[in-house]
Parts: sequence; C-alpha cells; structure tokens
Amino acid sequence: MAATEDSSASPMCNLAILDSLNETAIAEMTNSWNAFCLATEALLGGDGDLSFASDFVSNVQSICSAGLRSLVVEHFFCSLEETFEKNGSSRFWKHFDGYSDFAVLEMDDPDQQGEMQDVLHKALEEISSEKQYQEKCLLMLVHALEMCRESKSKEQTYSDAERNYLFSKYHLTVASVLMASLPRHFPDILHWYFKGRLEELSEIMATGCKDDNELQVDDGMDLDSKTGEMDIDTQNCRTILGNNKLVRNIGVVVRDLRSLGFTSMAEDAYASAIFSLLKAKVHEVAGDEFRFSVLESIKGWIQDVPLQFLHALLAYLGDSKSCDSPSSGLKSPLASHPSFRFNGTRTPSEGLVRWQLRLEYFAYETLQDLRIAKLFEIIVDYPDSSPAIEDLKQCLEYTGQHSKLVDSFIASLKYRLLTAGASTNDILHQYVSTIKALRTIDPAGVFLEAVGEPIREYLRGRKDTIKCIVTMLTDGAGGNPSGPGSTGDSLLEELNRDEENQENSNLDDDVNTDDKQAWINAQSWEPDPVEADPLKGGRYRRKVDILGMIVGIIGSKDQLVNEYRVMLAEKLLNKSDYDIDSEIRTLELLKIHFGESSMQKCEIMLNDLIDSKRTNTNIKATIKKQPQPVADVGEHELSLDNLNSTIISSNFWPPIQDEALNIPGRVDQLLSDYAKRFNEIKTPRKLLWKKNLGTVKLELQFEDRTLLFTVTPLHASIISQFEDQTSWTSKNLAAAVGVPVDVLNRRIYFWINKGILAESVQDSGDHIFNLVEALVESGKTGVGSGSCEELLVGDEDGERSVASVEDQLRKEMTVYEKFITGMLTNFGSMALDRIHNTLKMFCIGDPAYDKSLQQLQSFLSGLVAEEKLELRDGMYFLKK
Amino acid sequence: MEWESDEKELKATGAEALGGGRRGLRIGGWEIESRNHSILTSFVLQEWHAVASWTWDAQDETCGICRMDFDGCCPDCKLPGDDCPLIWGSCNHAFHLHCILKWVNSQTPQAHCPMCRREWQFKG
Ligand SMILES: [Zn+2]
Ligand SMILES: [Zn+2]
Ligand SMILES: [Zn+2]
Repeated sequence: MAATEDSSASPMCNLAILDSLNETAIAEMTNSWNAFCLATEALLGGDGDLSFASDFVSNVQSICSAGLRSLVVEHFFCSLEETFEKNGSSRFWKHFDGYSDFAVLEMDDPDQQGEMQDVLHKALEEISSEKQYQEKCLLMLVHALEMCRESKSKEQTYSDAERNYLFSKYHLTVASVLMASLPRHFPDILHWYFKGRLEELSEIMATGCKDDNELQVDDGMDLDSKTGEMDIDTQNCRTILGNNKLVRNIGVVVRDLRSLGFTSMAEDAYASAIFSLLKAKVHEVAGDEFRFSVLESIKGWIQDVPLQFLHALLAYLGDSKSCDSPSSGLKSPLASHPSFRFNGTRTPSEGLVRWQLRLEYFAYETLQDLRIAKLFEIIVDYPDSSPAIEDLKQCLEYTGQHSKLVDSFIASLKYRLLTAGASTNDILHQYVSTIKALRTIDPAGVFLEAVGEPIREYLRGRKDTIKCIVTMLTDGAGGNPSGPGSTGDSLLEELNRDEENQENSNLDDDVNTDDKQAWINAQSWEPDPVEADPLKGGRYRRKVDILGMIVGIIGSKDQLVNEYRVMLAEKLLNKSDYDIDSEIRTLELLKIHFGESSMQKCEIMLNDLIDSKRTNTNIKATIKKQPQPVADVGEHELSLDNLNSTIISSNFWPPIQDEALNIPGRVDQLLSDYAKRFNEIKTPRKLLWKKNLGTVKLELQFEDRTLLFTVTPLHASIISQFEDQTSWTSKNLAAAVGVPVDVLNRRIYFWINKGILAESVQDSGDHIFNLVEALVESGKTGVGSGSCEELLVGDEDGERSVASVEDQLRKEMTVYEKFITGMLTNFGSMALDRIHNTLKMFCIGDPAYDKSLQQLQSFLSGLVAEEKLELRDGMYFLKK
Repeated sequence: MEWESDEKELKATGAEALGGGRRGLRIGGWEIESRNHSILTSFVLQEWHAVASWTWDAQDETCGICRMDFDGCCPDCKLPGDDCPLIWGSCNHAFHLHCILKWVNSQTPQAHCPMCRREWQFKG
C-alpha cells in the first residue's frame, strides 16, 4: 500500500521537481532521459539482446535520483503496452483470422480440428514467450528501482509490495490490450477446441475402460452389472488420465489463457464444452429406451469422464502455480471465479464438488426434459417403463420442476389421447396407467388431480364410459386383451392385490413424507380446489386411490353399481350352465370397495342362480321318480331333460324386457309341465315364464354334416317354423312366431347369413324366406353378407347374442386364413379385391365364403396387426 | 367373365384344376374346392334354457305389516323366497312369516289379524 501511495502521485506533480534544477542539471537530466528512452525502446523491441541492460539501469538510477521515478515507470509502461500491442496481441489475433467464419468451426473435419489445435498452441506459445520476455524486462526495471531506493534510503519493507504492484499492473495492461482487441469469434474457437479435446478424452476413457472390462468379465451381463464394473474401472481410468498427455496439453492451454487474463473465458469455454458433451451423452444413453434405468450410468459417466478430466486439470494447474513464473501466483484481475487449488489428497476440492453438483444438476434436468417430452409413450409402455419413471422421479426431486411435467403432459394428452379417434377403452387404460405410473412420482396424488382432470372431463362426454369402466373393473379380459400386461385379471382383482401389497409395505410412508412436502412446495399448479374431492380427506395424508379416481369419472358409486347390475343381469340371463364362480369373486371384491349393502341386489341375483340350479335338479328328480309317458313321439323326442331354467327374484333384478313370443308348441308344453312341478315343490310359489329370454342349443342336420348353434329363443322359434313348412312370407312367419314383422325381418338375417335360409322378394313386394336346399351361387350369398352388418347394428340396442355373433364371424374368417396364406405364398402379393374374388370363386363349399369386402378387409388388417401379413401400397404380402 | 380371366391368370401362375369330378384348384400346396350346399334334414333341440321369475300366489302384492313386496322380503331378511316365506291366516290374509310372528308375539294373550281384526289363526 505504501508503494502505491508513492507511485500514484501524478506525473504533473513530479514535474515540479524540474523547476528546482539548474541548467546543467537539466541538460544532464535531458541526456539521461533520452538515453533511458532509447534503452527502453531497444530493450523491449530487442530480440532478447540484453546489452543495453547496464545502460538502462544506470539511466533509471540517475533519473530516479532526481526524484522523477514515477515518470520512469510511466514511460516504461507506455512502451510496454505499445510493444505488447505490436508484438503480442496483434500477432496473436492474426493467427485466428482464418477462423473468423464460424461455419469453418462447425465442421467436424478432424484435419481442420487438428490444424486449429496447432494454431492455438502455436499462438499461445508465441504470445506467452513475448510476455515472458517483457516480464523479464519489467523485472530489470524493478531491480533498478530497488537498487536506487536502497542506495538512497532505508525503506526496504515495501519493495515486495511494489514489485507485486508493478507486475499486477503489467498483467492488467496485457489483459486490457487483449480484451480491447478481442475478435468476436475467439470464445467460439476456445469452445470448439475444448469440445474436440474432451471428445478425444471421452473416447480414450471409453476404450480404456472397455478394454479393462473385456479382461475382467466375459459373460456379457449388460446393463445390470455395469455400475458395478465402473467402480473397479474408475481406478484404472484415473491413472490413465493422471499421466495423460492430452490433459497436460489442455492444462498448458488453460494456464496460458489464464496468464493472459482469460481465466473466466477459458473456464466458460471448457465448461460449455463439458456441458454439451454431457448433453449428448444423456441423449445417447437415454434415447427411447424406457425399460432400463439410465441415471446411474449417466452419473457414472460424469464421474469417469468430466470429473476425472477436471480433477486432472485442476491438479495440473494447482501444481503449476508453485513452480511457475511469478505471474501465476497472482490472481488475474479479470478472474471472476476463485481459482481452483487441488490439494492433492483424496478428498475432492471444493471446486471439484461444486463442479460435480453443477454437472449432475444439468444431467438431471436434461434427462428430465427428455423423459417429460416422451411421458405419453412411457405411460403407454407402463409398467415395462417403470425404470424410466423411477429416473424421472429422481430427476424431479432434484430439480423441483414438476410444473413442467404437468403442463407438457396435459398438452400431449389433449393432442394424442383425447380425440374422437381414440376408443373409450384406450382412454380409460391410459388413464389408469397414468395414475399407476405417476403415483410413483407423486405419492400424495397432488398433481394427478391436475393431470387427470382433462381426461375425466373428456370421458364424461362419452356415452359408453360407464359401461367401459365397469367392464374394465370386473372383466378379466379387461376389455383390452391386446394391451400389455393383460394377465386375465380384472382391474378390481389387481387393485385388491395392490392394496394388500401396500399394506405390507407401510414402512415406506415415513420416507415419503419429505417427498410429499416437496411436492406441495413445488406447486404453481395448485389443483382446482373444486375438484379436490372432500371425501378423500386430508390431501396431505391420503394415498392415491385408483378406484376412487375411476369412480370420480362417473360421479357416484351408485351409478357404477347400477351399471354393473345391468351388465351382470345380461350375463347371468345368457348363462346355460349356472357357472358363476368368477361373478362371485367379482362381487366379493366389489363388496370390499363399495360396501355390502350397495351390492345387496347383485348378491340376490347370484343367489338366484344358485337356487335355480338346485331347484332345476330337484324338478328333474321328480321325473325320475314317476317316469312320464313320452309326450312327443317323434324322431327326436323332447323331454324335460332338454329343459333347464333360471328362476329369478324379479324384484331385485333390473327391469327385464318381457316380449311376447310363440315358442314351438312342444317346448311350450314342457314349460307348463316344468312350472307345474315347480309349484308342487315350492307351493305357494309359482313360475312366470319370460319366453323371449334364455338360450337354445340347436343342432341342424344336413345330408352330410351337422351344425350346432347357440341362439336366442326367437331365432330358435323362427327356424323351427321351417321344420314343417319350407317357405314363408315374412308376414305369415311373423304372425306364427308372434313378433312384429320388422323384428322378424331384422332377426331372421342371422339364418340368412348362416346360409340356412334364403330371402327373395316377390313382385308383390312380399319377402319370401326359403330353406336353402340347392347349390348356393356365390353371387347370391352377397345379399346375405351385405345385410349381416345391418344385423349387427340392429342388435346393438342391448339385445343378447350380439357378442356371440361377432365372435362367430371372427372365428369363421379364421378358416380362410390358410387359403389366404396359400394364395400369397404362390402369388407373392395380392390386392384386396383380388383376394376377395378368388375366395368367392373357390370357397363355395364348406365353409362357404360369404363375407363382404369390408369384413375381409378388417380380417386382413387383423392379420397385419398380428404381423402375419404386411400391407404395402394396397398389396398384401406374407410377412417374412 | 371377369373371373374367367382371373382363372386363366391363376393357371398361368401354376394353379391346376383338381380333376376327378371335383370343382376347384390346387395352388401352392392348397386345394381350394367348391362344394354344394346340402339339404337340411332335421332340427334337434338339444337344450332349451328358459328364464322365469317366481312369485307368491297371493291376492295382495305387499305385506300388510311391513308394506314390503311379498316378492321381496321382510325388513329383517336379506334373501327373498324360501328364506322369507309367506304365511296365511285362517282369514286368508297373507303376511311375511317373520312379520306376523313378531306381531303375534307382541299381541299377548290373543293376537288379531292386522288386516281384518279377526282372531289370528295360522291356516292349517
Ligand atoms: Zn312383511
Ligand atoms: Zn323375513
Ligand atoms: Zn285377516
């Protein structure tokens, strides 16, 4: 500080000394000054020739002794700056003129890279030696000044301080000269330089580690064992890097840049290079693979490459400080970061730890963004993708950027899922997968509310939502047999299992408390308070309740139970075997979730089936006791053995459509007989038949084959009318069967479609139905198959046998698969209508091909989906 | 006609007629044969699974004591039918068995039919 006071006195003030000199002294002084100036110029401009040195020193001394010391310093620094501008900076920048076009730098050409690397090394070497020479000159001035001071006086104490002051002033000069003339592309050059070197290093590390791996393990246990191996290899990698020439070269560059005052620019350059390499690495490792966790291997890579590099670099720079020129002992005035000093022990320096935190944060954020962008696909793949979800969870815990996830996911839901093209089933399954997947990340379910709301809102607008929900909950096939993870269990079954598991692992709860708090703190997407279901109690303590979130779509559990009861009734009324084991299981599960009293009616319905079976057996037993004379003596006699019944407690069943129907007389007799026996057993209870309900197993015998059908009583009644009379007008047939003509016309297509009946239209406009007896012309079958779709549509109003008709169609088409495969084997490829015509032409026999073009097309697309066929440019191929 | 040309095309690519009175082609190892529809000779009803509802053979619909449907059950029961039967008095009024028993027990010493006030006697 004292030195600073002395030298900071203004030159103007010092010049006042001149006034006190006499003329000879002035002349002498002028001579000395001129000589000093010449010597300075010669010294600085010289090429290391120190012959002026003694001259320089003596002149400095004589001027100083006249008290003009500050003038000397001032002039010397002016000359230094001028010379540095000329010999240092302008030459230095000239080296990089060729790279002013940034496009050149973008090139990944290794030659270009190598050339640029050489240029940088050379330029730095050159400017550093110029600087060193100037420092030597400066040191000479310092010595001269010191000698002058010593001879003159007593104050030696601040010579060190003065020396430091002068050197730091010099470094400031150098830095400001360079900064003032800095070309705009220089930081880019540095970035590309470090990026190139790091990539080189990363490759060395990768191959180095890999070679070692090959030595250690031969069984290619891939990802699972990777992290384990890395720990072992890190030691090897460390030694590789420690003595690495590449790291030393980079160290030299960084050191030179620092000494020129580019400390922060150098650090920015290698930092940005490290970050861009890290980003590329995260993208490479993570990719579109969701079945493995990648976080650990990314963290391992950070340890192995960038941190090892920084470790080596910081160690190198730290070592260099003690034995280098005095300059590096000083902190550059432009350095914005504290310099790293690696203390050589095993504990990482603070700087290194800070680097690790920065790099890991960046990796977490990059991975998180990558996963959030693909969250929709990840959830489609759930639970296979749970490792990716687990990674995302960790990332979010680190970054706290949950709101990003919410916004992005809602946007992709709206775009990808909530569209007219998506089936209600698909939406529901994605909803459930979303809940399952995200509750890992969000155990408190806080933002599931936010994400789920658009889905719920959308589903409320769909007619079939309740039906699909009930099916999904209670049906083993889950309504989505092709979906991943369909184990044949109903969702209810799965939820139940889930709950048991959760109860067994309650320990996790304490650990999660912090997460929950973090979640709540990380809001900005506060869920709509209206939607926060008050029934679920305290938001902070509740668990994600999947069933509750599903019921939440419908609004109330009563509606859901009601829908289930209707579907259960439908199912039970179509049973002919009294087998209700799975329905009992489902009911038990529903009772657990919705309460016993809600399920009371369903329980009675199931109980009716059990009672029916028992009663049916009892009624059959009465026959055996008192054998009945055969009522109907015919070729195929019909007895009570052929009749079974389901007897319902109608008060507890949903309203059942009771439609009139004339069933065959012999069956009607049997029903009366059956009812009588029931009444005898169960007095004073009696039976009321619902003749339109139930199922009939019917065998149609042809000359050469027998076909078995399971149909409704109406279908059975229709076809049995043809037993005695092979041709009917629709009006007469409707009257005989006891149904309106339009109902008959709709339902009779089942038999036409089967090729059992044929329809013709008379001139009068009456429809005539005939038993098919002759060869079916392929052209004619088209009529039947065309109307078949109508039958399906017409049956959608909840009447039974809908599903079975559909299933039967699919089953029937499968028969043609071998023909199609045979044709395609032979022809290579065929268009849709060619396949259709060929089938029509040759498959007239058993089974006759009577499908429409659309039916064939949907069957073929099924085969394409199963990857048996391939469709390209309208042509079908066999998939190889 | 269109099919004929198709048929020629088929043959050109290695399909051959089945022969032996059979109508059809043999291609790529598959035999595709055309056959007649045969005549339906008989119907057999293998099983008729019918649906019925049961009901109590009573004049009234509801129990005069609990006001519930006879075809339902009394307030104390969960299952209708055999588990919650009806019972007739000598006056020919019917009640849920459980309902009238409760009633009779509360009306000591002599109970009367809640409907007609006649002395209650179970119909033998
Ligand atoms: Zn009662
Ligand atoms: Zn009762
Ligand atoms: Zn009475």
